[in-house]
Amino acid sequence: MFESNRRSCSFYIVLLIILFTAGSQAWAANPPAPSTPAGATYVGSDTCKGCHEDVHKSIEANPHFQLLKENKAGKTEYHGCESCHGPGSAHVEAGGDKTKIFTFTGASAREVSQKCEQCHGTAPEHANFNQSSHLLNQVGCTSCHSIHSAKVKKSLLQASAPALCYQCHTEVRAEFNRPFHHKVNEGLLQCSDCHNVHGTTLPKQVRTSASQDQVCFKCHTEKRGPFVYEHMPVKTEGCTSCHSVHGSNNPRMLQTSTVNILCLQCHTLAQSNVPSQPPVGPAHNQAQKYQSCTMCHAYIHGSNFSEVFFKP
Amino acid sequence: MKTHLSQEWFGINRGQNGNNVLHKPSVESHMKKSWICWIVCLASTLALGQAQPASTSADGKGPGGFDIEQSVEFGYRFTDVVGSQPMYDTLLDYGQGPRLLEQTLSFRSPEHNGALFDNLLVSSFGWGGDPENVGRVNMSKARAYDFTFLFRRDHNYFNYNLFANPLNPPTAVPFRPVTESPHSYYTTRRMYDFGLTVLPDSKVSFRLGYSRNRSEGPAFTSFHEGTDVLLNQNWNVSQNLYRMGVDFKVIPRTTLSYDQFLGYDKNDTDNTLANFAFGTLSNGATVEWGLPWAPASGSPCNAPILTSGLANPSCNGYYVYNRNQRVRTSTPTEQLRLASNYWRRLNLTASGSYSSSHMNTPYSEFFDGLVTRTKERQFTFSGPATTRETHATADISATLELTHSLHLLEAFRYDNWHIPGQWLSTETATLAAGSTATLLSPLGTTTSSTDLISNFFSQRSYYNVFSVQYSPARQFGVNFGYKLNHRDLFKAEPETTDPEGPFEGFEGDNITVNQHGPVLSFWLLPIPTLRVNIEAEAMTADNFITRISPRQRQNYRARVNYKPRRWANLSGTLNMWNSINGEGDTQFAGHYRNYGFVATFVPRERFSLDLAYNYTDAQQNAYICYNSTFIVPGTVVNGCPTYDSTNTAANPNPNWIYSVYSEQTNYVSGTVMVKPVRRLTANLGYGMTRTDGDQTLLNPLQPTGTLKYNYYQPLGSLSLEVVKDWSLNAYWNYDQYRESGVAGPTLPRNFHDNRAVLSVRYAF
Repeated sequence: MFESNRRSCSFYIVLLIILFTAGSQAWAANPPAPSTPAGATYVGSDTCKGCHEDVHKSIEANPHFQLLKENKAGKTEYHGCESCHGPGSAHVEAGGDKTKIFTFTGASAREVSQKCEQCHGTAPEHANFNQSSHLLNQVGCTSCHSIHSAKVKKSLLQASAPALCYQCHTEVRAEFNRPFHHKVNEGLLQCSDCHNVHGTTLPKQVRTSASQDQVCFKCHTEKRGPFVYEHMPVKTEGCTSCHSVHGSNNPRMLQTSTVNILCLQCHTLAQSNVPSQPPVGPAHNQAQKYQSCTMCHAYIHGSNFSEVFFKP
Repeated sequence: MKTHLSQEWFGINRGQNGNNVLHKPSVESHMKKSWICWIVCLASTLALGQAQPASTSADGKGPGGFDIEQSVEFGYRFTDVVGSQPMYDTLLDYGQGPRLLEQTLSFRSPEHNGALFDNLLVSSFGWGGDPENVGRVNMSKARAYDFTFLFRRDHNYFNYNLFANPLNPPTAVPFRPVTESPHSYYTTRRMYDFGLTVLPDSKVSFRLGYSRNRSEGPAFTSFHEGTDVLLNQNWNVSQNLYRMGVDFKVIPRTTLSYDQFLGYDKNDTDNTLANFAFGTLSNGATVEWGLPWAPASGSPCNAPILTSGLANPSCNGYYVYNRNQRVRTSTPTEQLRLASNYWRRLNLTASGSYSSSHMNTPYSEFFDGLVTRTKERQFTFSGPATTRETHATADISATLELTHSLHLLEAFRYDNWHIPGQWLSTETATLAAGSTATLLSPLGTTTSSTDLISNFFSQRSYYNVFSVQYSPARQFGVNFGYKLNHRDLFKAEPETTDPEGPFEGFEGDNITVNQHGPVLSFWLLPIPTLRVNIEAEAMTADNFITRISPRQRQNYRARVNYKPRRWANLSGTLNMWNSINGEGDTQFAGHYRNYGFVATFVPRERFSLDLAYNYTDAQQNAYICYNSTFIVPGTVVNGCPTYDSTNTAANPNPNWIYSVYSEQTNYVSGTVMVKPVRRLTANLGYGMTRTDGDQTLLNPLQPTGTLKYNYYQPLGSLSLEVVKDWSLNAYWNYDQYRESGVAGPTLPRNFHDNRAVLSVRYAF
């Protein structure tokens, strides 16, 4: 185990050096994105409209129109266009010089998100965005949302779901096209039903049910229990220990094509350091009717009346 | 060109760029039964009437100053299936008939000054009997309220005939193949989600919600006692979830939320005996033998049919079997959340929740027949079961900005649940009278017993991630940290006690698992349109809960995303993980290796191209012990570590083999859209999923099934705008599913189908 760790550490250090060097080269080759110059002041949205009428119209038609109502002067969120782009006087005085105002093109994901989070940051859906895998991988708000030219009005998305998610998550697209899959491509479910794309405190940014259980139980309520006899891995390892939840080649989205191999790989031997892992394996002839364990153990997710999951 | 309104608003993207499926739904008897359908149709009709003057008004505004847009698409689907209809229905289930394919209605107040609402959108698809059917309503008035309603209904048909199939041998006389899955079902799930937020932008805002999830329909299951019989299962499960919450935003950039949830689950699924194979006894009574039919192996017995043609009364058999339950589970949950950016350099979120589920159910079970092993002619089981689950969670995460380029991130989650359960069982067993137990034996003595069975299961865990993010430039950054996951679980041995006696506590096992390891990710933006992400993660564990829980695991992910133009997107991904549990008698080794790319080009309104390729190599291997009269090549006979040559009778699973499961899946997809003239749009696409693999098959009759298959899905469509706002559409899909291996002792599962939809769309 120590040897394995040492190899992993060495790998990471080498990887870090390579990537850091590559990153430094890229840094040297690219100028920084423009930001708000010091001393600039707010000029008001009507001034912006003078040159950017189309953009102004797009804002009027989407939920950000409220920013244009400067009815509480002094608060950032009531500075219209400048709520997001910062004070525009220098930009105006320079005849529209793009380097004299904050623009989202070229800004880092964290800079972009900080702008958006001025208003959205404490909303329940967005609260964990600072910790999200997306932001940590430089996928910021404008990677998916478009404030001025959204293709999907709801949530101002750049593209419709799930195609938007598939642009990066190519493996998930392939999984949802397998014969046995959750109905995401069919429009019944959306990625955001199970994942909070803005981040959670759980791996894979998965949501939880109202009772903080696995999100799967929101639809598959009968498998949540609680049961008198719980099938241990359902609670401790999660549904993904047996199921490929996006899509699978196998019926019931199982990890293997036959049930008995999936079961026997756990239910074979009681481990010396895990004393309670019964049964140690079926005494049944696998060449006969018993090849599908769930034919008898039909209530494998949990049972109230059968320790061996024969009955509900 | 009219935009596709539902897609424009909600991003519903069915069968485009994603799956090569052009499903356009349909109407059957469900339509008459569904009040939702009628409401939507009524809304559309009313809106149609209202919108006529709107479309002709000089300023483009409708009644009340609203911009109104609508669309409706009616059509008819033709379906032709050749081959396995159950398999087609399992994978696709698109029937033939008229369909209300899609409907949208949008009211928008350009000045945001509507009387009751500023925006209203009603959108739906799938009316008329298609397997997926969705309706959405969004209604909002700025600063006043935001209302959402989502209705989803899906038919779930499953009949993959190898699933839970006993694989009756063709050598049996007579041969009784199980041609359909004993665990097939045809259920319908309806989900309703209502949400209302009042004063969403005020310092105090309120949330109300209600969700209902009901799943019902015919299903089958199996039951093992004596033999394995097929049971009718009248599936009937529902959940009602009520929500209310309040947000306080009285401190700048800080939201404090309190929510209460109440979930109420019901499961009224009953079971009764279904017929599969039955015979007639000499007294004229009918007896059910069950699913397994292998007399040579004793299923249901050595000679179920006598030379006279009558059923053998000494065989396992069922006259009657039924079971009833009424499961009721209530789950109140309280949740408190805090999210704050109050301090400029510190982002803080925290939440805590507590829920307490309480389940109770009566139960009754009755059997009449013969179990030869116990000589029982009848038995009953009854008694209530009750279970509680208390579940407490808390999490806190913080992001501290040390400098503009250096951030510290910390996330901690605590989770603790306990599940005590009890079952007060009353059991009666009536043996066959006389020395020989047969189905014809009169009922003998009845014994009864009452037991209180208690059980307990709990887990306490915490999960912590600490990381440092360093991004010295906009062009690159690195994130490195450490993850720790600690779990303590206790699994009790169920205690059977006298209900009147004292309870002496549980004996059981404690398992503690510590998983930890480093994480490293790196992103690079050499040019603004090119993003490269590389992530690596390693985990080691000092213990495990199941044999296939890894002791070591490594994840590697790389993504390259290139958007040279707004209309072009190129992505490539690599995703790999390796899992190992190197315990000597386990040697679990699993991996997942995925490589893929997507290229999407939409250079102009008249042309688009989407290409995708993906390859997956997955593996899951481990040593297993097994019992079989069929010795798989590679088996060490009597080689299992538990094998005791001095006591062969105590060796239920003597054989030892390194079981393997591996699959290699290729996925290819391509779709092209062209508009040769303004009024004509054509789509042509092709999709293919192809899998090959290997698995240890312990039964010589077991086909490879889904381990080796080809699934081809070409498609095409034409849309012609015949006059302004009216278009005629034709959609075509072809699906071919073909397994490479033998069908096995059941019916083949291969099929191919043509699906065509002719429709007319009116959008205005």
